[in-house]
Amino acid sequence: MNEEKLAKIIETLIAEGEDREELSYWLEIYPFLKEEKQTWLFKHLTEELSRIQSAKKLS
Amino acid sequence: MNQTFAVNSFRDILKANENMENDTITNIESGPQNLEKEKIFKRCGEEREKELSEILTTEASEAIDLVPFVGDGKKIFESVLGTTSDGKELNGKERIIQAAVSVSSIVFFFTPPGTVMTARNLAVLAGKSPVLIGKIAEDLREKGHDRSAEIFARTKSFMERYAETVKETEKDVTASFLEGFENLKKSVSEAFEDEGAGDK
Repeated sequence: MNEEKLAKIIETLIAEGEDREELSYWLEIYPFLKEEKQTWLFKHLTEELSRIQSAKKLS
Repeated sequence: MNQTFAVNSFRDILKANENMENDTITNIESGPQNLEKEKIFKRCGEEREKELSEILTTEASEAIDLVPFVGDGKKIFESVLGTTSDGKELNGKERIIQAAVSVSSIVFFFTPPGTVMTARNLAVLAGKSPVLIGKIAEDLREKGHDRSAEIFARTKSFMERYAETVKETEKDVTASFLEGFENLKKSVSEAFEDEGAGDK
Protein backbone atom coordinates (compact mmCIF):
# COMPACT_ATOMS: atom_id res chain seq x y z
CA MET A 1 0.00 0.00 0.00
CA ASN A 2 1.26 3.44 -0.88
CA GLU A 3 2.12 5.36 2.28
CA GLU A 4 2.86 8.54 0.37
CA LYS A 5 -0.60 8.49 -1.20
CA LEU A 6 -2.17 7.96 2.21
CA ALA A 7 -0.19 10.93 3.55
CA LYS A 8 -1.63 13.08 0.77
CA ILE A 9 -5.19 12.03 1.54
CA ILE A 10 -4.60 12.73 5.22
CA GLU A 11 -3.11 16.13 4.50
CA THR A 12 -6.16 16.99 2.40
CA LEU A 13 -8.52 15.88 5.17
CA ILE A 14 -6.58 18.02 7.63
CA ALA A 15 -6.87 20.98 5.28
CA GLU A 16 -10.61 20.32 5.28
CA GLY A 17 -10.69 20.55 9.06
CA GLU A 18 -10.10 16.98 10.29
CA ASP A 19 -8.06 16.48 13.46
CA ARG A 20 -4.34 16.74 12.64
CA GLU A 21 -3.17 15.08 15.84
CA GLU A 22 -5.40 12.04 15.35
CA LEU A 23 -4.62 11.54 11.67
CA SER A 24 -0.88 12.03 12.26
CA TYR A 25 -1.10 9.16 14.74
CA TRP A 26 -2.76 6.92 12.15
CA LEU A 27 -0.08 7.77 9.61
CA GLU A 28 2.58 6.98 12.20
CA ILE A 29 1.23 3.50 13.00
CA TYR A 30 0.20 2.73 9.41
CA PRO A 31 3.45 0.92 8.41
CA PHE A 32 3.06 -1.44 11.39
CA LEU A 33 -0.57 -2.40 10.84
CA LYS A 34 -1.45 -5.77 9.40
CA GLU A 35 -2.11 -5.65 5.68
CA GLU A 36 -5.90 -5.95 5.98
CA LYS A 37 -5.95 -3.06 8.45
CA GLN A 38 -3.75 -0.96 6.16
CA THR A 39 -6.24 -1.64 3.37
CA TRP A 40 -9.13 -0.75 5.67
CA LEU A 41 -7.52 2.55 6.72
CA PHE A 42 -6.73 3.56 3.16
CA LYS A 43 -10.26 2.77 2.00
CA HIS A 44 -11.85 4.42 5.04
CA LEU A 45 -9.97 7.71 4.61
CA THR A 46 -10.48 7.74 0.85
CA GLU A 47 -14.22 7.32 1.43
CA GLU A 48 -14.22 10.07 4.04
CA LEU A 49 -12.56 12.44 1.60
CA SER A 50 -15.01 11.44 -1.09
CA ARG A 51 -17.98 12.09 1.25
CA ILE A 52 -16.56 15.50 2.11
CA GLN A 53 -16.26 16.32 -1.56
CA SER A 54 -19.84 15.20 -2.22
CA ALA A 55 -21.11 17.27 0.70
CA LYS A 56 -19.33 20.32 -0.70
CA LYS A 57 -20.87 19.78 -4.10
CA LEU A 58 -24.34 19.67 -2.57
CA SER A 59 -23.87 22.78 -0.45
CA MET B 1 8.37 10.81 16.41
CA ASN B 2 6.62 13.72 14.77
CA GLN B 3 5.25 12.98 11.34
CA THR B 4 5.76 15.59 8.70
CA PHE B 5 3.67 15.72 5.57
CA ALA B 6 4.66 16.52 2.05
CA VAL B 7 2.99 19.71 0.85
CA ASN B 8 -0.03 18.55 -1.01
CA SER B 9 -2.44 19.97 -3.50
CA PHE B 10 -6.10 19.24 -2.98
CA ARG B 11 -6.53 19.99 -6.68
CA ASP B 12 -3.96 17.33 -7.69
CA ILE B 13 -5.68 14.66 -5.61
CA LEU B 14 -9.09 15.40 -7.07
CA LYS B 15 -7.69 15.43 -10.58
CA ALA B 16 -5.84 12.17 -10.06
CA ASN B 17 -8.47 10.28 -8.07
CA GLU B 18 -11.74 11.72 -9.31
CA ASN B 19 -10.90 12.81 -12.88
CA MET B 20 -12.41 16.20 -12.14
CA GLU B 21 -12.12 19.27 -14.32
CA ASN B 22 -10.44 22.42 -12.98
CA ASP B 23 -13.68 24.42 -12.84
CA THR B 24 -15.44 21.73 -10.81
CA ILE B 25 -12.54 21.62 -8.37
CA THR B 26 -12.57 25.39 -8.02
CA ASN B 27 -16.28 25.22 -7.15
CA ILE B 28 -15.58 22.58 -4.50
CA GLU B 29 -12.67 24.53 -3.04
CA SER B 30 -14.72 27.68 -2.73
CA GLY B 31 -17.81 25.91 -1.39
CA PRO B 32 -19.09 26.90 2.06
CA GLN B 33 -18.39 24.85 5.18
CA ASN B 34 -21.41 22.95 6.28
CA LEU B 35 -22.81 20.84 9.03
CA GLU B 36 -22.79 17.79 6.82
CA LYS B 37 -18.98 17.90 6.83
CA GLU B 38 -18.89 17.97 10.62
CA LYS B 39 -21.23 14.97 10.71
CA ILE B 40 -18.93 13.07 8.34
CA PHE B 41 -15.89 13.85 10.54
CA LYS B 42 -17.75 12.67 13.61
CA ARG B 43 -19.04 9.45 12.04
CA CYS B 44 -15.68 8.56 10.52
CA GLY B 45 -13.82 9.43 13.75
CA GLU B 46 -16.06 7.10 15.73
CA GLU B 47 -15.52 4.36 13.19
CA ARG B 48 -11.74 4.80 13.46
CA GLU B 49 -11.88 4.69 17.25
CA LYS B 50 -13.81 1.45 17.17
CA GLU B 51 -11.32 -0.02 14.73
CA LEU B 52 -8.36 1.19 16.81
CA SER B 53 -9.85 -0.40 19.92
CA GLU B 54 -10.19 -3.63 17.95
CA ILE B 55 -6.59 -3.41 16.70
CA LEU B 56 -5.13 -2.64 20.13
CA THR B 57 -7.18 -5.30 21.89
CA THR B 58 -6.29 -7.96 19.33
CA GLU B 59 -2.59 -7.10 19.47
CA ALA B 60 -2.65 -6.97 23.27
CA SER B 61 -4.16 -10.47 23.31
CA GLU B 62 -0.95 -11.68 21.71
CA ALA B 63 1.07 -10.28 24.61
CA ILE B 64 -1.14 -10.99 27.59
CA ASP B 65 -3.58 -13.74 28.43
CA LEU B 66 -6.79 -11.74 28.24
CA VAL B 67 -9.14 -14.60 27.46
CA PRO B 68 -11.98 -14.86 28.42
CA PHE B 69 -12.26 -11.39 29.97
CA VAL B 70 -11.37 -9.39 26.91
CA GLY B 71 -14.80 -9.90 25.35
CA ASP B 72 -16.59 -8.50 28.38
CA GLY B 73 -14.18 -5.61 28.64
CA LYS B 74 -14.69 -4.71 25.02
CA LYS B 75 -18.45 -4.81 25.43
CA ILE B 76 -18.17 -2.35 28.29
CA PHE B 77 -16.02 0.23 26.58
CA GLU B 78 -17.71 -0.05 23.19
CA SER B 79 -20.76 1.45 24.87
CA VAL B 80 -18.87 4.64 25.74
CA LEU B 81 -16.84 5.13 22.56
CA GLY B 82 -16.86 8.64 21.15
CA THR B 83 -18.23 10.49 24.17
CA THR B 84 -17.39 11.07 27.81
CA SER B 85 -19.61 9.58 30.51
CA ASP B 86 -21.51 12.89 30.73
CA GLY B 87 -22.13 12.92 26.99
CA LYS B 88 -19.44 15.37 25.83
CA GLU B 89 -18.33 14.55 22.30
CA LEU B 90 -14.64 13.84 21.82
CA ASN B 91 -12.32 15.22 19.17
CA GLY B 92 -10.01 12.95 17.18
CA LYS B 93 -7.03 13.13 19.54
CA GLU B 94 -9.26 12.40 22.53
CA ARG B 95 -10.73 9.37 20.75
CA ILE B 96 -7.26 7.86 20.25
CA ILE B 97 -6.58 8.36 23.93
CA GLN B 98 -9.95 6.94 24.92
CA ALA B 99 -9.27 3.78 22.90
CA ALA B 100 -5.79 3.40 24.40
CA VAL B 101 -6.97 4.02 27.97
CA SER B 102 -9.83 1.55 27.44
CA VAL B 103 -7.38 -1.15 26.41
CA SER B 104 -5.21 -0.28 29.42
CA SER B 105 -8.31 -0.64 31.59
CA ILE B 106 -9.02 -4.10 30.22
CA VAL B 107 -5.46 -5.14 30.95
CA PHE B 108 -5.63 -3.60 34.41
CA PHE B 109 -9.05 -4.78 35.49
CA PHE B 110 -9.53 -8.01 33.61
CA THR B 111 -6.26 -9.79 34.18
CA PRO B 112 -5.16 -11.27 37.49
CA PRO B 113 -4.55 -9.94 40.04
CA GLY B 114 -6.55 -6.86 39.05
CA THR B 115 -9.86 -8.65 38.73
CA VAL B 116 -11.47 -7.03 41.75
CA MET B 117 -13.18 -3.83 40.68
CA THR B 118 -13.20 -1.35 43.50
CA ALA B 119 -12.94 2.39 43.97
CA ARG B 120 -9.37 1.75 45.09
CA ASN B 121 -8.54 0.32 41.66
CA LEU B 122 -9.82 3.52 40.12
CA ALA B 123 -7.24 5.53 42.03
CA VAL B 124 -4.52 2.99 41.32
CA LEU B 125 -5.04 3.18 37.57
CA ALA B 126 -4.57 6.96 37.53
CA GLY B 127 -1.41 7.75 35.58
CA LYS B 128 -0.76 4.09 34.79
CA SER B 129 -2.27 3.64 31.36
CA PRO B 130 0.76 4.82 29.33
CA VAL B 131 2.90 2.53 31.50
CA LEU B 132 0.58 -0.41 30.79
CA ILE B 133 0.62 0.32 27.06
CA GLY B 134 4.44 0.45 27.26
CA LYS B 135 4.48 -2.87 29.11
CA ILE B 136 2.41 -4.48 26.36
CA ALA B 137 4.90 -3.10 23.81
CA GLU B 138 7.76 -4.73 25.73
CA ASP B 139 5.94 -8.07 26.02
CA LEU B 140 5.13 -8.06 22.32
CA ARG B 141 8.75 -7.31 21.43
CA GLU B 142 10.00 -10.10 23.69
CA LYS B 143 7.63 -12.49 21.91
CA GLY B 144 8.90 -11.37 18.51
CA HIS B 145 5.82 -9.37 17.48
CA ASP B 146 7.85 -6.36 16.42
CA ARG B 147 5.21 -4.62 14.31
CA SER B 148 2.57 -4.87 17.02
CA ALA B 149 5.15 -3.74 19.58
CA GLU B 150 5.80 -0.64 17.49
CA ILE B 151 2.08 0.24 17.43
CA PHE B 152 1.99 0.14 21.23
CA ALA B 153 5.28 2.01 21.62
CA ARG B 154 4.01 4.81 19.39
CA THR B 155 0.65 4.84 21.17
CA LYS B 156 2.50 5.22 24.46
CA SER B 157 4.46 8.18 23.05
CA PHE B 158 1.20 9.72 21.84
CA MET B 159 -0.30 9.36 25.32
CA GLU B 160 2.77 10.90 26.93
CA ARG B 161 2.50 13.87 24.59
CA TYR B 162 -1.01 14.60 25.89
CA ALA B 163 -0.66 13.68 29.55
CA GLU B 164 -3.41 16.00 30.77
CA THR B 165 -5.98 14.53 28.36
CA VAL B 166 -4.89 11.04 29.40
CA LYS B 167 -5.43 11.92 33.06
CA GLU B 168 -8.99 13.13 32.44
CA THR B 169 -9.76 10.15 30.19
CA GLU B 170 -8.48 7.67 32.79
CA LYS B 171 -10.96 9.03 35.31
CA ASP B 172 -13.81 8.88 32.85
CA VAL B 173 -13.10 5.49 31.26
CA THR B 174 -12.43 3.70 34.52
CA ALA B 175 -15.61 5.11 36.05
CA SER B 176 -17.51 3.75 33.03
CA PHE B 177 -15.75 0.43 33.51
CA LEU B 178 -16.81 0.23 37.12
CA GLU B 179 -20.40 0.97 36.19
CA GLY B 180 -20.28 -1.46 33.28
CA PHE B 181 -18.72 -4.16 35.40
CA GLU B 182 -21.44 -3.79 38.03
CA ASN B 183 -24.07 -4.15 35.30
CA LEU B 184 -22.24 -7.18 33.95
CA LYS B 185 -22.13 -8.82 37.39
CA LYS B 186 -25.83 -8.08 37.84
CA SER B 187 -26.81 -9.60 34.49
CA VAL B 188 -24.67 -12.70 35.14
CA SER B 189 -26.22 -13.08 38.57
CA GLU B 190 -29.73 -12.70 37.13
CA ALA B 191 -28.95 -15.28 34.45
CA PHE B 192 -27.89 -17.76 37.14
CA GLU B 193 -31.05 -17.04 39.13
CA ASP B 194 -33.17 -17.67 36.02
CA GLU B 195 -31.31 -20.91 35.38
CA GLY B 196 -31.85 -21.97 39.00
CA ALA B 197 -35.57 -21.21 38.76
CA GLY B 198 -35.76 -23.27 35.57
CA ASP B 199 -34.24 -26.27 37.34
CA LYS B 200 -36.92 -26.30 40.00
